[in-house]
Amino acid sequence: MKFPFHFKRRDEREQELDEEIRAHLAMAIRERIEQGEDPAEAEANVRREFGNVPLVKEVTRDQWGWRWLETFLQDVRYGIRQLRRNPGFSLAVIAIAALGIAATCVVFCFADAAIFGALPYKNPSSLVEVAMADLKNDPGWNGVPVPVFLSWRDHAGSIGQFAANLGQLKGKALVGGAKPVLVFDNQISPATFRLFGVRPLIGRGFQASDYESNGTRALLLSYNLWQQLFNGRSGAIGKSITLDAVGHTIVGIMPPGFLLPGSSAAMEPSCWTPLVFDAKQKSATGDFSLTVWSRLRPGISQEKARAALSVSALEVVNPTGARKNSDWRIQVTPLMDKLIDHWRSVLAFLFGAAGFLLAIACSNVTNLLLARARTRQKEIAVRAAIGASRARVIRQLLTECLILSGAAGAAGILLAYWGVGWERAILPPWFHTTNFQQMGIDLRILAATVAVSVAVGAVFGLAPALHASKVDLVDSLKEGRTIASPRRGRWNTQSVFVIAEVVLSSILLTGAVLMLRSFLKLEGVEPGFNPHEMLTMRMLLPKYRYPKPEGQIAAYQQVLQEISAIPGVAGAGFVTPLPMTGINATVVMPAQPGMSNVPENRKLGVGFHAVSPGYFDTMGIPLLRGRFFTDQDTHDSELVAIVDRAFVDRYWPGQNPVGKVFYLHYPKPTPVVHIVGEVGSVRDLALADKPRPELYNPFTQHFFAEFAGTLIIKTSTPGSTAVAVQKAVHSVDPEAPISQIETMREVLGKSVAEKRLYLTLVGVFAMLALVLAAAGIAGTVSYAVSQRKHEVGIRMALGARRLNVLFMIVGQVSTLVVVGIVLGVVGSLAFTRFIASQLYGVSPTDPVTFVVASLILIAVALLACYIPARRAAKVDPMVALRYE
Amino acid sequence: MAKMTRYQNRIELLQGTLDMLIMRTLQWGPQHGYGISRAIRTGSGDMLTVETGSLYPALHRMEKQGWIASGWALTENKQRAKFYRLTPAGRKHLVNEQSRWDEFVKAVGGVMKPAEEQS
Repeated sequence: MKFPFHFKRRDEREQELDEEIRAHLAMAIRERIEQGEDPAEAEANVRREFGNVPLVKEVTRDQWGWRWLETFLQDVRYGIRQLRRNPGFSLAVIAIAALGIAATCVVFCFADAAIFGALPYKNPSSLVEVAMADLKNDPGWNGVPVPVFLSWRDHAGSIGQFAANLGQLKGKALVGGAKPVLVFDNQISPATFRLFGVRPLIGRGFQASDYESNGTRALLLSYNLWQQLFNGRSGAIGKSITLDAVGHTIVGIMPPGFLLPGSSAAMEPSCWTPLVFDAKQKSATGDFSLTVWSRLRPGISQEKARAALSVSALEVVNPTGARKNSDWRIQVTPLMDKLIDHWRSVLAFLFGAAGFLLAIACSNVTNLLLARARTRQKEIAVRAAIGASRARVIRQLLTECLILSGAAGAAGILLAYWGVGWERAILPPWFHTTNFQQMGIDLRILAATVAVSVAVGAVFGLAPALHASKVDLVDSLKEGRTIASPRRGRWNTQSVFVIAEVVLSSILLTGAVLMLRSFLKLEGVEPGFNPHEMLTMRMLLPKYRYPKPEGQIAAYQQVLQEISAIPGVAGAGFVTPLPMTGINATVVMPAQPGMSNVPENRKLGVGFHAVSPGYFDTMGIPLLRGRFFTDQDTHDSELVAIVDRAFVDRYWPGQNPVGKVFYLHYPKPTPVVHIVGEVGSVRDLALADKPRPELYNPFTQHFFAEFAGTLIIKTSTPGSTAVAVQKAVHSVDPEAPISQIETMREVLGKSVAEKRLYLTLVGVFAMLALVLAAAGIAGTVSYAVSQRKHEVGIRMALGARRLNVLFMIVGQVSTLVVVGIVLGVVGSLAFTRFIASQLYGVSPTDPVTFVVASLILIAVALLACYIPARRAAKVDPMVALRYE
Repeated sequence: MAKMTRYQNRIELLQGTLDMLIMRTLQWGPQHGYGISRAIRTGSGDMLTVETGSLYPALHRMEKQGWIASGWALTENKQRAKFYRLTPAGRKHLVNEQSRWDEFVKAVGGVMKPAEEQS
């Protein structure tokens, strides 16, 4: 019966009440008539007896409301009144909690973009990457041979659908738009877009006829490329363009930000073309070149897929049983796992940092609430005395906390909105993918943040509420005492929170200082070349323009000559690939007799660059032995190479490499190559990586087929020189695509940009933590001062000097700070090892960092103590004694 | 604030007593609002008159608390009326109230006649 009563509609109940009262009146009138009264008189009497009908209805109606809701609303009203009475306190609590909530929200957004935004495909959790890890070669390849892919696609339909991509890292010249551009051509198998559940923004995807060798060559442009070349005009569809001189028709434009998994913004600008295999490729079982993805059927586990695909791969690669099964291994990796693996450590420590900040904010607020609960003891005692139960008082106090945390949540989300905007603005260039560019607060993040703020409210509210509700009525109600005296136990709770704040700030600060030191070390690393006043420019003289390779080489040489003649150019060179861009070119050579430190399989993987003769001089890489390349090292002269210091130190320690010879396995078997010189080592892939063995050869004898290369130009006027250089290149070849015009400083900056981002985030968190800890300490001291005004007054009246008073107050709090710092150092020792992978050149237990962080904290704490303590020392004894 | 609470206390005392009287009446069987007020009046020898402005809020409140339940039925005079009956929870509550009331009467009685008690 209880439930239906509650859920009856209001107008229905209104009618029932009406009828109930009418029945009452009717029965009373009838009884009076039966007793012999005149009907009119009976009615009048009954009406008088009953009283005011609407009033009776109204007081009855009042009983209908949900009691808990009424109480809650009453609490809320009362709470808001209380908080408005004390705006300074309320604003402080809201601001502090909002900071913690905002930090958490900003990290939520980043994590959301990194994990969920990075796979903008349909149902991404069933997508896997299938790789065939080549265990025989060093370095091993991770792709899939064409025949294996075809076998899977045609015969493993019960496992899943398959798609393949042949990425073309070398870049191609796309001509036919506003200007020639260097693009990355992603050749994809049929149904690739269907596998990912993606459609072109306009136009069509590839169809079966596009894959026939005599069909039209179809091409899809990326959104950016479309904007760049055709200003986003839909007339681009159907246009003919050439890709490395091969005619293609543009059939569609992909949506903005679309990338195949594993590609980065560094792969922009991209285009997609059909992946067509010739007969030779279809039988190339040793060429591990394809990237293969699959959408596994429901119920097919990773392990099941791995087993089934291994069997069919073995049939293709090893039909005769000649090759060992141990030469390679099939790997099935969910795309989601790959992504999470990539981000795990970064996200863990960002969440850690935000969590610490939130915890500091919480303990700060708890402390404020505790202090305030004490000043409200009289009020609470009155409430208890007139019959409020303890539960009722706790509920009232918790409601106030929820109001505060709700306001803090709202303010926090507002702060986070700006915070995310700021975060977006400081993202390094290769975070310029859609997921990070569109990073923002959506409903899920909002929900998570609201959950955090409610939890925060409950956490910081409960302890003070429990405390405050335990009042001693008599003591608290005594006349003339507005503030209860601090009892030992109370003071200790507050101390614990101050210590906790110091400990948490200390850990966060230590982490931030570690990262700062690591970053400064990284920026201070000598890369082995001189990046000052250096302009870089990616450029390609397309091979199809030159019937003979000599012609292409001559054109490159002419370009370099033209550039050298530009006024203000102090030197020019050409290199492929440019160091510090993260592009890894590796050659494989068999170990030579007399080499040390040779790996077991006797194959050496060596970093590789093809360079022009002027490269080393322009880069400032010193010659240690032998000679640089010259114009006499041509495509038909003896093959020559230069090795670097790291190569010699590793493989020929203490020996002179000049005059030694070697040959290559990969990328192609070569005749004998003569080493003609030794140069200084450079950091090639990343500043944090120690120099690895490197091999240089003249670009006239380039080991790899063709690579877009980079012009490096020594100049103090990069802006005007860049214009002149482009003009010079186009005077030699008007179809030469040019891209990525940057100074070497910018290239280096980009290589550490990700570390800079994390450092900035953690640095900001640590600064906020310091501010919060300082506010917490200052608040505690202020409170102590106000509590002891009387005592201070007496002491000073008895002759204590200001300095003594200052010491007394500061001493009390500095004990807490020292305890906090000691515990913080212990905590840091436990926590900093989690960021070890983010550090360069600094140990996670670096003593300098620990000392610096502790000193900063002590300085901040002293400052936070000093200001309120000085106020105490300035107290006029007479005023203090009269106080209260 | 204190003043308001005193007022509430007075209401509560009356409400408590009224609740008990209503439940006591319903012990004899389902009854409508008018019947309850008549029963209390006659049962107290016309000493107690229940104001409708107290009776109906009390009935609705007690129904929400689950002590009584309601339903529509016809009186012997074929008048459709809302009848209330005691729920098991209400019955239990009534027993408690009854014993508390007995103690209260005894205590007040003891205070009001101290001389007789001592002698």
